[in-house]
Amino acid sequence: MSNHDKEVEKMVFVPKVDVIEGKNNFTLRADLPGVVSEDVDVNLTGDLLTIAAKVKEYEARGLPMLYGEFVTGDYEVSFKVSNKVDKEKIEAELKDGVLTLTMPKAAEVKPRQIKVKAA
Amino acid sequence: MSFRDIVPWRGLKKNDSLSRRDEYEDAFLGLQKHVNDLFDNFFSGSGFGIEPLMGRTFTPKVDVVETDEAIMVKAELPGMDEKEIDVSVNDDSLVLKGEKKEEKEEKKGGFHRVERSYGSFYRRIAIPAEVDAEKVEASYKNGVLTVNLPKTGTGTTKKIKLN
Repeated sequence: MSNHDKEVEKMVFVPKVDVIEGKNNFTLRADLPGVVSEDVDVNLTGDLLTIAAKVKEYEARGLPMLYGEFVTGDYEVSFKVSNKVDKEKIEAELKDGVLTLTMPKAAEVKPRQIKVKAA
Repeated sequence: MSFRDIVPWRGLKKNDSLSRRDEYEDAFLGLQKHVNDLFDNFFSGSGFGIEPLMGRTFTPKVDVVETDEAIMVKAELPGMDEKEIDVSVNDDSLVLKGEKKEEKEEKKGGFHRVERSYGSFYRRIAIPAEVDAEKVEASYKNGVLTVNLPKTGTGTTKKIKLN
């Protein structure tokens, strides 16, 4: 294996991410093509949410490339999670190369109607 | 409309993908891509950076590898519905097309960050060898589409002697 190949192996990419706010949840989606669920780590340390994913060795490496538009590498991205999110209830799911994090809103930011009691 | 379409001296559209090699990996080409995107957005009449909701398109990244037996094409298509991917082979090209729909959900609070691609895609990839169209296999796994195109015997390389 040449030095160049080793360099390629170490590459880490920032995945493309969407963050959408719904009524009760924030939804974060990250494109992680080629990743299986065992190889994704989602960690929350304090306010810092880190998504790290490893891609299995690309089976075609070393073969002559006719076109090469994507380089196989790992993915990593971090976010600061605000107090608007209930950090205890974050859920993660990986399907078809897309990681979905469902982050329920914290009770204090949810719209809440306060009933007026008749005195 | 892509910026390439309005550059008149560009060659056949079929070979478009050849010019896209590693454009994201190179800092200068990355800048060029960015500038091209600005032009694309400007000429599509949607202003800078704001894409219209209808008629959105994207270009999936593709790797093409050749072995003695086959040509293998991999396309990054995260979050697709398998049924929305259309793979077809004709004489000398492989066509990948389809549509990636947005996930359905309420968007009451709106978008905080949108980087992922949605919409329809179309890619025609020139196949540089004769392949057996009957034996082409495609699979979609973990957001990656893999198409295996076995070569026919006639397509093997033949050395030509110089007289």
